[in-house]
Amino acid sequence: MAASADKVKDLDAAAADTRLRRLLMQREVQLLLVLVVFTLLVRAGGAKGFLGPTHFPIFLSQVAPDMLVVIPMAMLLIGGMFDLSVTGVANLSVVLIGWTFSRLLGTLDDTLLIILVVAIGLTAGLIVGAINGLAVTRLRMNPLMTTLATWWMAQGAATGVAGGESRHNFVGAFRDIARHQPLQGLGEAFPFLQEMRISTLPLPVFYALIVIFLGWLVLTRTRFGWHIFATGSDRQGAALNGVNVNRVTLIGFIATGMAAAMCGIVWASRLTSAPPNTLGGLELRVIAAAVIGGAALTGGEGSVLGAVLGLFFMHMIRSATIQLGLPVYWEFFVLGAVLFTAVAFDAWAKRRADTQ
Amino acid sequence: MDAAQAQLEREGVDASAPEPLLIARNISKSFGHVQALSDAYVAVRAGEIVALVGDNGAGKSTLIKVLSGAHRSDAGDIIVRGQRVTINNPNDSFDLGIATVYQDLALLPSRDVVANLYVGRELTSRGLLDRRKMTEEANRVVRQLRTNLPSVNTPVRFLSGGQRQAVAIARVVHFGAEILLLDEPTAALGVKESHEMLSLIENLKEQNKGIIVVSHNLAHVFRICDRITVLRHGQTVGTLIKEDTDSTEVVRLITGADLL
Ligand SMILES: Nc1ncnc2c1ncn2[C@@H]1O[C@H](COP(=O)(O)OP(=O)(O)O)[C@@H](O)[C@H]1O
Ligand SMILES: [Mg+2]
Repeated sequence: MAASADKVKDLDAAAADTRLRRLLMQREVQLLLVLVVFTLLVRAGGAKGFLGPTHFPIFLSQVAPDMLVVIPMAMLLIGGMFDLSVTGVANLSVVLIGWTFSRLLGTLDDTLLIILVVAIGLTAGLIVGAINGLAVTRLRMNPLMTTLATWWMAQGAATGVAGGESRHNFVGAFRDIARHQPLQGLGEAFPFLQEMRISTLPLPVFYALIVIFLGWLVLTRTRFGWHIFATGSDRQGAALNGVNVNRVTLIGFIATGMAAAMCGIVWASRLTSAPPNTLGGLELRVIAAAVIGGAALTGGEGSVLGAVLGLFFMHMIRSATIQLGLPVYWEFFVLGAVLFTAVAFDAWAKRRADTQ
Repeated sequence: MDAAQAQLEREGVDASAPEPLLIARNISKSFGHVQALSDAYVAVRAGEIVALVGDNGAGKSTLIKVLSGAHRSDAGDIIVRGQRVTINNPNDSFDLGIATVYQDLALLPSRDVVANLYVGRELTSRGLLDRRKMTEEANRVVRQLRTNLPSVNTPVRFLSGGQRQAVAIARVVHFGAEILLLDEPTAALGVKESHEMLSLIENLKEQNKGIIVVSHNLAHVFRICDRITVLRHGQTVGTLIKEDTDSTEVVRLITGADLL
């Protein structure tokens, strides 16, 4: 009796042990631990307010525009594709907004005009995304070269339309897209929200939350999400089993293009000016973030939570560099080192799995 | 009845035997300049195993893919349960009760057993995936096949060759297909795993499935099949009944040596 009870206990312990080990094997859990340790180190290193109650809401609003793009980019990567054109698309959308405002300001009702510029911005993203998707699926063009080309075309069009001017004559209310704080009213009713500064969170944080939720829902809870994984895992195999792989890819590119355009809209609203170089390095930032978060460049693997944490990490490194008073130039060194480590770790994990 | 029946009689099959589940005749298919199939024929009845043999490049995989909807034939008839059908894509084939295990298995390496079993036909309830039901069903199917898999949540890339085969077969059996197309199911397996696979196929025959199996291994062919259809340069040169023939004759037909 006693012996068998012991045995059961042993088995329980073993099960708990493997459960813990499996948990620790998850990229999201590892990354979360790294983020916590990183935060503690930065605070110990002198930046006491790092991610504290004052910094955190600001940090979130800085991450938010990138977050809109990293989620669909991660989904595109999981589906075995990727998109370099996002920076060009975002800047094109910024410039088109500035151009439209400068032409139509005063001729239309303000609200109507705002709706119009948002629609124009998003349409630019939709068009470039559709071109990318159709080129890759119908014409079987290489995604790297295709999206490099459309990046340059979109960026060139942005610079061309801007014609050397960054326009500043925006409808005042357009600022609300990036600056409105929807919980402000709640903050008055519940003082702790005010103290925690949650009531100061601007709208883009909520756009990001919606995109994160939708991304998670689609990827893990819908057939389409499983089709994304299937397509990235083995495109031909998925197709042989009746998955419409071209549809998966096309929708992925369109979603990414529109998200990049939305990112541009948020920036245009935040800056209320429209230079064609508003965004820089967006593509590599979000691709690197997704990869650090466990998305495989070869497709079939990754998660929304991983991409979120990966992007947090990228922005935390930026913030920390500034708050610790390090020369900004080192930021890129650290970002590169983190990316290198993540990719090396993936390669190591894969080698180990293959030899098992 | 018609030409198909006549063809079967020419093969020496009793015309009073049940109508074939599937007949493919005069199938042709070219890829650019390569004529992969020119006049291919194969037929299978319920509870029967037909081996499809031929040299490398004879067109075996292409014929399987025409039946599974991965390729569209240029010409020819496909008759399923006495009805002429057109198969334009994998879903058409699936809807006709045809299921295929490909030479390269077409499994998704980074996905777990559950996702592989259900790829393309995931279960949903109220628009969202029913993951619990799929996991339960997957466990049931795996138990039924008496294969030992670690867990249905293991990514397929961690499984052995035999286990992967079992997953590929489970996928097919699970959806209740009556016609099974197996392309080289033992090619990548060791001796022991091959024999397990052959037993599995014999099991499926007992469940009254009609099975077309491509194989290079004549020992395997003679162990399990009822009839042997020989393909050469994209053309069916004949169908032999196992009891009436031996491996030398099959090899002669495969290579065309008797023509010299
Ligand atoms: N997708 C394809 N594109 C071009 N040629 C193909 C394709 N698939 C098969 N072929 C050609 O068709 C012929 C028959 O191939 P296959 O059906 O794979 O033969 P088997 O399975 O009997 O070895 C070969 O010459 C092969 O090169
Ligand atoms: Mg073959």
